[in-house]
Amino acid sequence: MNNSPAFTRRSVLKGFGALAGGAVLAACGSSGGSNSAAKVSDIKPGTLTIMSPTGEITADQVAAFQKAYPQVKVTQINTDPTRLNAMLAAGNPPDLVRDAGTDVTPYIASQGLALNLDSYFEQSSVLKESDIMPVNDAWKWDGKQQGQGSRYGIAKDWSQDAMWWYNTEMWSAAGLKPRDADTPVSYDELLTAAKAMTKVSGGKTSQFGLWYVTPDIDRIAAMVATAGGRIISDDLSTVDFSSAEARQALLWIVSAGKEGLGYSVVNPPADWDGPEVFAGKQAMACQGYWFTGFTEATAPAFESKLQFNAAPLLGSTRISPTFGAVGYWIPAKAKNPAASFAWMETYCGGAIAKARIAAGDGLPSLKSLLPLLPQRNAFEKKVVATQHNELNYIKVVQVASPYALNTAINTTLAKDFPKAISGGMSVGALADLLTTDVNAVLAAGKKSLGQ
Amino acid sequence: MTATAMSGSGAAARGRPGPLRRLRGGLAFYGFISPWLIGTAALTLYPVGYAVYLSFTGWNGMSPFKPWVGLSNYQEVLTSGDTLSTLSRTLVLTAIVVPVTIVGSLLLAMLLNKRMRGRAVLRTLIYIPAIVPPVAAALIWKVIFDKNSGTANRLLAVFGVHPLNWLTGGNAFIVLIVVLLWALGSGIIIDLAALQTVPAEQLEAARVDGAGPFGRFRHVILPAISPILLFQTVLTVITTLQTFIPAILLSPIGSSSMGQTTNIPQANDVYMIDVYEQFFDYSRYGYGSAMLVVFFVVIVAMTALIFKFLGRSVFYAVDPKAGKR
Amino acid sequence: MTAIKSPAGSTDTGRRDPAPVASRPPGARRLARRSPIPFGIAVVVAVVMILPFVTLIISALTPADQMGINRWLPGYLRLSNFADAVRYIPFWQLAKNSLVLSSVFGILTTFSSALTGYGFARLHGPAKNALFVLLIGTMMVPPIVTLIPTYLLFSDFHLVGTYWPWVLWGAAGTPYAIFLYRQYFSAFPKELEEAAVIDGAGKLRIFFQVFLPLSRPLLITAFVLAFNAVWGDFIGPNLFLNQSNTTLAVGVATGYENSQGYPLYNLLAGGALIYVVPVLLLFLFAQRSYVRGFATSGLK
Repeated sequence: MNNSPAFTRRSVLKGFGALAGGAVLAACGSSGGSNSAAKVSDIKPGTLTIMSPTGEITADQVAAFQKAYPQVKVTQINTDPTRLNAMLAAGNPPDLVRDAGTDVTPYIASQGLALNLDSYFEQSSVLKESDIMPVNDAWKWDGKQQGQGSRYGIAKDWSQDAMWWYNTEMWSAAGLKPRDADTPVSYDELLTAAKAMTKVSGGKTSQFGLWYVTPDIDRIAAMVATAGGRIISDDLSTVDFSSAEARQALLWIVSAGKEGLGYSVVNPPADWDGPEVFAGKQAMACQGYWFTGFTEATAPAFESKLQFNAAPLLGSTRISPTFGAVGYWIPAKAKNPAASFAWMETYCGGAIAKARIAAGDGLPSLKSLLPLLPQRNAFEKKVVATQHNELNYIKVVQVASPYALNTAINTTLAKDFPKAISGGMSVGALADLLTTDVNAVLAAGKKSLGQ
Repeated sequence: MTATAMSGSGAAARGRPGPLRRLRGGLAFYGFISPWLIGTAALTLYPVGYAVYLSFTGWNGMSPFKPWVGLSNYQEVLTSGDTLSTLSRTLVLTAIVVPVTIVGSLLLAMLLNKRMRGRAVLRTLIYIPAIVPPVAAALIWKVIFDKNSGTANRLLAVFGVHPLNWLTGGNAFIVLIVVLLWALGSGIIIDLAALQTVPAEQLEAARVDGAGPFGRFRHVILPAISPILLFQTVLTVITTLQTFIPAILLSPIGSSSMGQTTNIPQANDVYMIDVYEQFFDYSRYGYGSAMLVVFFVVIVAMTALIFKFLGRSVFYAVDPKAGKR
Repeated sequence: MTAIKSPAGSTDTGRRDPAPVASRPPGARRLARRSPIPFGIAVVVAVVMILPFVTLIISALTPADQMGINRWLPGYLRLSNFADAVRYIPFWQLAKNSLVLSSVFGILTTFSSALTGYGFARLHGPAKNALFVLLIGTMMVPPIVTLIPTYLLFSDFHLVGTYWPWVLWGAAGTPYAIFLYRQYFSAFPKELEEAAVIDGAGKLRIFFQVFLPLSRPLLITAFVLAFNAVWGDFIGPNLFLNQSNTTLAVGVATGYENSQGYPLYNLLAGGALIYVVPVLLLFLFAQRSYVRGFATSGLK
């Protein structure tokens, strides 16, 4: 069973959570210098402790790895913020942590929690620099900005999570014209279409036009970026939601919830987009490429009823981001970093990766694995075509901060949004409230770093 | 309290509590309590001390740098609107749950004290929810109140009522109270035992004097069981103030695992949840520790208040200080 | 099924209970003894208390596709849900772990608390009152305070991921149990010890051979409470144990989700049901002693 790349609440939170702490009692700030003699052939025998959600890494995968590296024994710990926190505080962290690169990289890199992996990548024959997909820029940090600089991790698989799907039958039943999958829709059009497809009877919604809209900071930042705006300051220490673009994004989210076009924080769903769409309760889903495999596995009947589309735009800047780039990072105090990197190689670019990509689990981290994307039937072929086109628009959206984790920020968002969705607060007031609250979180974080 | 029973081996004469004997006696005492003493020192006192130390820092749980912030965390705890509102919410919760629990449990005990068919079975059934581990209890109620598949909404559907969103908004608070009150029966064992100690002759005398059931209760039963009730009240207050697991497990969406504080409706944002968030969502270990220290003070203060105000009405049939022959 | 009997029947504690029990007054009144009203109320309350279990059972038997249906009962029941529930997570392995931890902790703390309770009740030493206040004080400490610092401590000794923390916590005793023991032991007449002393017994022997055997109900109560506490503990194992040796509490609370983290309520209900069965059974079997344990202590 694969997890969608971190854009769903749980995996996002688990990813962030896996980060919520970690005391490196030794040197802080290994900012960019490479380690010496970082060869994968330096693998010491011993255990490799991986913090990863239970069930994500299968026994077969572990066996495959151990066959290739018999001197290493793999142990897994379930992803847990408290646990990781405590382990890092005790100076005894896991050897690998599964996390969402887009969300954690500035934090772990700037505080010296994560190992700078440049030297490992330089020597790798599997994860070659020229072969690495641009999505992995999310795992880069240069001391000031995410997206450039040294590598601190790599994605295991990913999707462009702002892309969306709609149920073609419901779409035409509502009188909407079929869309060209590669042309991005505007958010406003989305709402209009959603309205047409939402069916309410007797106070109960039998069909939601839109997907489950959650107020996540990275989604909002991405929306704003497509309008040419930016939420976070250049030094990543303050936010501002009062710009016209930001307010537009907020308005969109609030309207979706207020008008009941989709599930929202005030009306949560029983299950995520997938099952809801397959149960006929939702007309759209906001999921990336990996949804293909899920559809084929759980509801093959929908293969002929779903269309995969380019990510929507708030303005006219075409960006189709990922909200995860979920992969692994290596704690600076890990005891067997060479073994950790060997895992990264195998799982994210080597044999295990190939098996996963060929099964349609997500997009690969390496360009050379792109041809492995399954195209066994018409459904898959169309999806892959749309996806290939979309790959040109991947870009790192600046929003993650070295001063606070997105968990903290999203907690704040989840508290404030209901006030506007069901509480009657105006969007302008919401924007101000969010600005104040999120800045407080960032400021507290900055203070705890002594700045 | 003499030292006579203290002596160890030997038929040494009583009434000769020399210093050596007392020392030996003291040794025995400390010997017996040593596991507890050592354990408490290492596993309770030290961590508490460490937490107090942390409360004066701005540690974020990660960096090796623990900036000293003096009293600013405490200042913030006492002035922050958010923190104070979670505290008041917790106090409200306690103010609702504790009286209902104590009174309800007593009434049930009195009810079950009467002779009736199947009394023993009824007692067991009413007590069982108290045995259920809190984790299971929270999950049971979550299953019941889930909006889409829960029994509560299914029942409403039978009557044609729209499904309610039980676990969000203000409803969530009510559900939390229900979960806490489900274990009402936990007090009945102690209450039943307490009721057995009511002196029957006084009761009979009161009856003869023409006192009705309320009069008998007020003048005979209540005084006799008041020490127990006091003890129960204090314990219930302490545990209710620390409510955490039900609040976090009743979150409406996403997984039921720990760490999902994003989904907790504001109504259920009780103090301990806030503390947890400060530690693990906002990474404010210093601030969270300060919150805990303040909370501890609140608990102690409330306990003292309860003893002071209710303690006055507690009637000790036997002076608790005497009687330890 | 044995049931809660009135604790007044017990006479083996030597307690000074001057009056006969109030529930059976000497001049028994024929009137209203069998009034249907109290019985009726009691039945209603009992039903209300048990109802959640009934609904849990229904949910546990509901097939996945019937979960969202707006009907009171599912269209059909699926007994094999239970089989799925114990397969979805490594149920029996986790149950075994829970059993081991709960038993070890239960036994250790039962005896350790007895020792300490006895010390407070029958022995004397400098600063005894202050220590007693400390005992009460520790009951007021919110567990979360000790969470991270305790982790750091255990981690330094490489005890994380093992069951040693529970051994240590067990050996340290439980404040509430210590309190109960202390109340209990305080009530015994001094003559008990004096007799043993004359026979030449040392303190420890007095404790083990005289007092402990007399406190059987309380031993059972303390054990049941402690067993229950560990069986239901979630925060502790979540932090200290690994996937391979964690407990059922953690498994049931976090395991029944689909890949996106949404709960599978029918499986969760089944798992939770099986999860509570052992503690219920333990209670039912130990009931009489359990009740007596409470009744004969902590009353004054």
